[in-house]
Amino acid sequence: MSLRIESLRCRLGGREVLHDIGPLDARPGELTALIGPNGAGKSTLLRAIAGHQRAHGHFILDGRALDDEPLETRARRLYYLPQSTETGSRLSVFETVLLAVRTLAPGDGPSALRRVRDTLARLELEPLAERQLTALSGGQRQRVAIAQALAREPRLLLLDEPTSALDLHHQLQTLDWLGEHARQHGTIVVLAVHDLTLAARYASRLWMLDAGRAVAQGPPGEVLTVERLREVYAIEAEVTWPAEGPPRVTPLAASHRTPSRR
Amino acid sequence: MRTAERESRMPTNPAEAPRCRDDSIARYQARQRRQYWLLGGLLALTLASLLGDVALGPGGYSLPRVMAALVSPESVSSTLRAIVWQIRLPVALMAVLVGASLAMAGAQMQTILNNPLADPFTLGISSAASFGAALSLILGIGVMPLAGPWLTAGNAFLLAMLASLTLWAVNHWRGVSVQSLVLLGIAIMFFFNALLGLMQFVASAEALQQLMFWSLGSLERASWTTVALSALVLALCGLGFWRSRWRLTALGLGATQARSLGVDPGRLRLRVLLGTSLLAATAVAFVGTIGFVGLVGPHIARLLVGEDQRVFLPMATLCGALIMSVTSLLAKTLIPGLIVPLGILTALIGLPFFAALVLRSRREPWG
Repeated sequence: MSLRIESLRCRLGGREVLHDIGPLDARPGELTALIGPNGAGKSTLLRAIAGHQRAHGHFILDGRALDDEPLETRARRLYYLPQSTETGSRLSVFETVLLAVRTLAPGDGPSALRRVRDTLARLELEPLAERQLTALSGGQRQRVAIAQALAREPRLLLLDEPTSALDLHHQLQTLDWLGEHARQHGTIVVLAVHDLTLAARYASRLWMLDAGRAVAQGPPGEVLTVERLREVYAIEAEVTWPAEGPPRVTPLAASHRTPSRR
Repeated sequence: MRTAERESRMPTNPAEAPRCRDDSIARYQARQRRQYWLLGGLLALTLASLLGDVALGPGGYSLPRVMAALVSPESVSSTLRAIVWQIRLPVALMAVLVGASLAMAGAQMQTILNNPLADPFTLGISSAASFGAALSLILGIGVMPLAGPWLTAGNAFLLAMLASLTLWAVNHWRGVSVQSLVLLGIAIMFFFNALLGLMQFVASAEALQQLMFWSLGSLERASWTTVALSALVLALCGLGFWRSRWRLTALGLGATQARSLGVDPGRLRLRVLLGTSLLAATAVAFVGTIGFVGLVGPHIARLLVGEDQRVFLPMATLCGALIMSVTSLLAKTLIPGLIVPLGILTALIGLPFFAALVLRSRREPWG
C-alpha cells in the first residue's frame, strides 16, 4: 500500500514541464521529500497529483487510480497544501480548521470540535484560536494551514514548502509533528523542501527533480552525492556523514557550470 | 536548551492543561451564541420596522387601529382594511424582501468574485434592467408577451438575466479569471448605459419622466403577486446558498485552498452567479434600481459576524431587509405628503455610511 506515480507528463503554457516522470514511490508512515532547484517542477508535480493541474499519467494510491477520481472524491483521500497561504478571509483560526473538518462531513457534532481543539493544541495554536486570519503573520498562517491539513487526517498529504515561512524552532517542530503524524496514522507524506539537510534528516526517501525530470529517488544517503549536487544544483557542496544519523549538506560555492539539463 | 524552552511554554499546573484545552471550544461556542443573539436582535428590529412601515402612512390611522386591521380585519372599516391589506402590507413586505434579496445577492457576489466592492449592479445587471425598462416605457416594445405594468417588469427582468447569463456563458465556455469577469461586467454596464443614453436621447418628455421615476426605485408597484414571486425566488436561492454554506465559506479562503478542501470553485461560482442574477433581476424588475443595499448590507454583516456563511448569509440578508424597511419608512415620513424615491434615500444614507466603513477598515495608508 503506497503512492506510485507512472509516466507523468504535464504541459503549461504550451511547454512540457514534466517529462515522463516515474515510476516514483512513497510509503505510508514516513516522509518523502521532493527536492530540486527552482523551476524543476516540484510544485507542478504536487499540483498534478492533487488534481489541481491537468496532467497525463497514472497516480495510484493504495492500489486505486487517483487520476480518474473527481476533485471531491480525491479530496477525501488526499490534502494538498499550497506554497502560498495568503488570504483576505476574516475567518477565525478555529473556524478555519473547523472548515477543513466540516467540508468532509457537514454537521456540528462535538467530535469535530474536539478534533479541531486537539489539533490546535498539538500545534500550539490554541492562544490564536479566536484571532482572524488577516491578523496573523505569514508563519502563523502557514501553521494554521498545516493544522487544517492534519485535522483532515487524509491518507496522502502533499505539502508544498510547508516550512518556508517558519522560524528555525517552528521548522523543526513542524517536521517533527509531520513525522509523528505519519507514523501514528500511517499517512503518506510528500513534501517539497529546499533545505537538503532538513530533507535528509526527516525524510526516509527523496525524489530529486531537475528540469521536469526525475533524476534520482531513494534514501538520502544514495541521492545526495557531491557529483549529483554539482550537476543538478550547480553548486560545490560538502556531504558529511556524522557517526549517527543522516548526511549533512554544506553548500560551499555556486558552480560556474550550468547544469546539463537546464 | 530546546527542551527547556518547550517546557517553559507548558502550563505549570497540570490541572490547567485540560481546562485551557476546553477553553477554545467554549470560546468558540460563546462566540456562536453571541452571533445567534445578534441575528435574533436584528430579526426583531426588522419585524419592528416592518410593523412601523405598515402603521405609518398618510391616512393618519392610530397604531391600535392598524393592529386591529392586521389581527382581525372584520373589526375595522373596509377603507382601513383595504389600505392596510392592499397597499401598506404588500409595500412593507416588498421593502423587506427586496432589501433581503439585494443584500443576499451582494453577499454572494462578493464571495464568488473575492471582491468586497462587488454587488448586483457591478456586473451591469442594473444597467441592463434599466435598458429593458426603457424599451417598454419609451418605445413600447416588450421582449416577453406581457401587458400593462408587467411589460416593464418583464423587460427589466429579461434584460437583467441576459446580462448575467452572458457572463455565465463566457465563464462556462472560456473559463475566464475572476478579475476578467468583473471587467467584463463593467464592459456590459457601459454597453447598456450607452444604449440607455440613446433611448433617452430619442424619448419624449413624458416617457423620459416615467423612466426617471422607474430608475429611482419605488415600492408603489408592489402587490401580493410581486410579494409572492419575490418571496419564492428569495426562498429558493437562499435554500440553494444555505446548502452550499461550507463550500462558500471555503471559497473565501481562495480558490486553491477551496480546491484542496474538495470544492470545485468554477462550478460553485457559476451556480451562485445564476442565483444572484435571479435575485437581483427579480428585485430590479419589481421596484427599479436601488443601489448600495447590496453593497452595504454584506459589509455590515461581515463586520458583525465575520465570514462563516452559516451566520454571514442570514446576517447579510437581514441587514439588507432592515435597511430597506427603514428606508421605506423614512421615504414616506421625511417630507409629509411626499414619498421620496428609494434609490435617492439609499444612496444618501448609504454613501456616508459606506465611507465610514471604508475609512474604519483602512489598514495601509495610501501615501
